[in-house]
Formats: sequence, C-alpha cells, structure tokens
Amino acid sequence: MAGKPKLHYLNARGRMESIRWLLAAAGVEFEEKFIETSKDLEKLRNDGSLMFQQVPMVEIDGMKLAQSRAILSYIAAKYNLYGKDIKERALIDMYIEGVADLNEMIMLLPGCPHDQKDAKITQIKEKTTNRYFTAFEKVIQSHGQDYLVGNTLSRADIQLVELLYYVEELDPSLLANFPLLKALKTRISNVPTVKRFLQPGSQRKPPLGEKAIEEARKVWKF
Amino acid sequence: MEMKESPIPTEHFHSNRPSSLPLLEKIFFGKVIHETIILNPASFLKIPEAISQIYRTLGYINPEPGVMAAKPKLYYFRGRGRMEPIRWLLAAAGVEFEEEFLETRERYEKLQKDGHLLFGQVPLVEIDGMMLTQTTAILSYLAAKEGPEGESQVLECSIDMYADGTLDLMMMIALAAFKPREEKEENIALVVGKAKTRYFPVFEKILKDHGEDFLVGNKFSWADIQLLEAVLMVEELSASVLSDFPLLKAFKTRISNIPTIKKFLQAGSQRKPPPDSHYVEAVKTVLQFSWQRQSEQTIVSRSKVFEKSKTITPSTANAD
Repeated sequence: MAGKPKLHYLNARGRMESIRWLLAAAGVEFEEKFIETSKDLEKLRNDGSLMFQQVPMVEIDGMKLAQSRAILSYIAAKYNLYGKDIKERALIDMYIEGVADLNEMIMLLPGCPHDQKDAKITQIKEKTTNRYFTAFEKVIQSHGQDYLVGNTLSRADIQLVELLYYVEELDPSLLANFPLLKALKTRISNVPTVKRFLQPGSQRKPPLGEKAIEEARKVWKF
Repeated sequence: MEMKESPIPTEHFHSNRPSSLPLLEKIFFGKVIHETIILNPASFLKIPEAISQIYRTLGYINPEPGVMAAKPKLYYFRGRGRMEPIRWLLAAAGVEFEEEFLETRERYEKLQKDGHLLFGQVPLVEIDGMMLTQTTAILSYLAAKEGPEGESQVLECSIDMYADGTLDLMMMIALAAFKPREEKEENIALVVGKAKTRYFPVFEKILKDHGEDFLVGNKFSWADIQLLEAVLMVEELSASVLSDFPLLKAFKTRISNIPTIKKFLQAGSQRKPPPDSHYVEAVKTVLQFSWQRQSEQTIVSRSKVFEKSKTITPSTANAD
C-alpha cells in the first residue's frame, strides 16, 4: 500500500492549495516537497516526473499526477466527495468550474501590473457579487439543504468555502448580502477535518506576500 | 448508477428530495412521479404546478414541443471555441445532437434571464433534463455516460490528465483568433512551438512506451478523441508539425478511421471550421467583449508563469 501522497510545488498557495484543502478535508495526511530554486524545478523535469513540465504534481497511489483538475478529480472520487452518480457529478463539476474561474482571477492579482490593479480588483468584486455569489446563493436557496449537491458533503462545498475565505481576504463586506453562503461557510468550517486545517500550524498556506512573489520569480525566471 | 431520464426540462440546480415529499407520496405514487419531483422541486413547492407536471409525465397533457426530445442540444456560437471538443465527443460516440447558434445579444440575454446560464456563460448543453454549463463538466458527464471510458479510477485519471493537457493547447489556439492581426504570426509560432516541444513529445512517448493503439487502457477513450482534435487543429496552423512524431501520425490515421469519427471529419458534418473574422465578430457582438477579457485571463493564467520563464537548460540554470 503506497504511503502518504506527496505534493510537489512552491511553498505557496497557487494551483496546489485547492488540492491541499481537499486532502485535508478528506482527512488524508500528506507530505510536501517545496520547489525553492530553479534547480529543483529542473531536476523534476529532467527526472521525467512532470508530464507537461509543469507543477502541481502529486505522487499518489503509484502515479505521478499532473494537471490540478485531474488531481482534484481523482482525490474527490477516491474519498467519495464527488456525488453518488454521474448526474450529481455533473452538477458538482459545473459548480467547481465556476469556483475555479473566480479563484483564478483572485490568484492572478499579485501578477497584475500596478496601474491595472485597482481596475482588476473592481472587476473581480463585481463578478463575485453579480455572477458567482448570486449563482451559488440561488443553488442553496433552491433546495434549502446543508450542502450544495446531493444533501451530502462534496468537493463542491469544500472548494466553494475555500474560495469564500479568499474573497473575505479581498473584501469581507462582499459576503454580507448572501446569508445562505455565509451559513455554508460556517457549517463547512466546522467540519472537524476542515476546522483542523483552518487552525494555525496546519499545511494551509498564507496569501502571497512580496517575498513569495520574488521567490517565484527566481524559480520561474520572469 | 444513472438516474432515469426526465422528459421534462428542469432547472440545472435541482436534484434532491424536498423535505415535504412524504405528503405527495400519499397523494400520488410511482417512481416516475418521485423522479419528476426530485428533478424539479422548485415547482413542487407550488403545488398546482407540481401537479400539472405530474400529469404531463403521465401523459395526460401533451408536453411542449421539444420536451420529449432525447437529443442533446448545444447552445453556442457558430464556430469551434469551447464547444468543439463537446461536438467531437458526441460525434465519436455516435450521439446525434441539435445546435442553436447564438447570433444576437438579445438571444443571449434571454438565456440568461431564463436562468439557464448558471454563471452567465456558454457553452450550454441541454441534456438529460439538465442545463449544463462549464466545458469540462459537460465533457466529463458525456464521457462517463456515453462510454468510451477507462475502467478504473486510475485509468480515468490518466484520461483526465491527458485531456486537460490537450484542452490547454486547443484553448490557446481558440483564443489566438481574438488577438490583434499584427500578433497573428507570433501567436501561431508560439502555439506550434508549444505543441512540438511540450505536448506532442509527451503523447509520442506514451504511445511508444506501451505500443498500443489507444492512449489509455488499450481502449478507445475521450483522451484519444481530444488528442486527435488537437493534432488536427495544430496541423491547420503548420502542415508539417507531425513530421517528427511517427507514432502520432499513425495514431491520427487510426483514430480518424473510426467510423463515427470518419463521418464527423467529412464535409457536411457538424464539425466547425477554424475561427474566421465572422466568428470573431459574432462572439464580440453577442458577448459585448466581456468574454474576451475573461477568457484571455483564463488562457493567460493557464500558462502565464510558464510562458514567461525561459526554457531551463543546463546552461541557463548555471547562469544564475
């Protein structure tokens, strides 16, 4: 039986953070190997460990998985966080793709040129309230249940709540008019595995600071 | 396990029993009715409407035209964009489908107002009583439903991984159509370069290592369809791109000869041509430029960090 999953990435949120959240929520212990220099990245590439020469890469169950979406899908399916049939999975997929789109916008903010940053932030806030939060509030309202799909905890709940924390970091007032989303956030945060992950000392990563951006610049050379 | 197909189009975010179901169970009976309610609990809350839905299910009232249609219906622009992989998958699986082409802003706004676009975006596919958006959600659902598929989670994962890679490449091409004309040469070179250095070598190696006819599990899957689609798209940009990839060339011929795919590749099929100025104009008109900004970000984000980094070779690494 293979050991713990091993995550290869920068010591930062980036595209690995959703994977960390999902593993943590599923109660799966994992190891991390941080890429700190461009030599670390080069070694992984030369070893043939990175299918498309990119990270995230996760070693799990004898595989070296790349593509964050594929990794998340595997983990979700393995730990029963992906709905009970293909129709539930389709709904979950639809929701998490929306989450991923908004998450992407927020994730890329640090890379935005300074003169465009304010406009970008405004755009993100507008999209958050008018498009994404509205859509998800409606979903919860439509069935009135504790979880987004199938009345059961799934990756959709975990990934959405992860996003809610990022939005809160951007602007805590954005969640104000979405009571059902607020309640979902509280409820999921109290799931024991998630609660543990939210505490200091867990493998959850902080927001990207200047230092982390500099490190990334050195590794990726941009 | 598949849920029974509902003949009644339903909201996309309903799939669970409302808590007041037991009351209705006493009044009506039958699996069909439960599933009708399950699939549309919002109308269940308005009892008269729920009752008329049940009557419709039981055939007492003629359903609206098109309600009983089993064919999936695709809503998108008349062009490839993000819908093309979905068309390929349906065609390869031998599933007939209908298409509605978005040509006006009004039509798009109506779809939004009717609540069919969860995030206000297309592609939209009406299938099995659901209004599904998000390309990968749709592709995953179709692949799982229509088979061809791997047999285990591990195989499915490989399929996902390969498909994601080819999708990245295809989206680069799709987006290039919206860039300024002056950048066209540069973009083509970039995409062809990426195909030749990052994507094609990977798949050539996979085929070489197992020596089988298909990418995963010695069985035709979604990954094969998408790779063929990607290969053909890059060949449109550079006819000789496969010259260094003999196994991919053979793969291309082999998959193209699968009867359903062969049919799709012939003139007159629902396969769409490469994006031209008409397509770009139609998209800009309907979406009023908002998609350009968002999808640009999406594409840029997928490869941003890695685009900007130089290829790391021993010499550049030592130059730190």
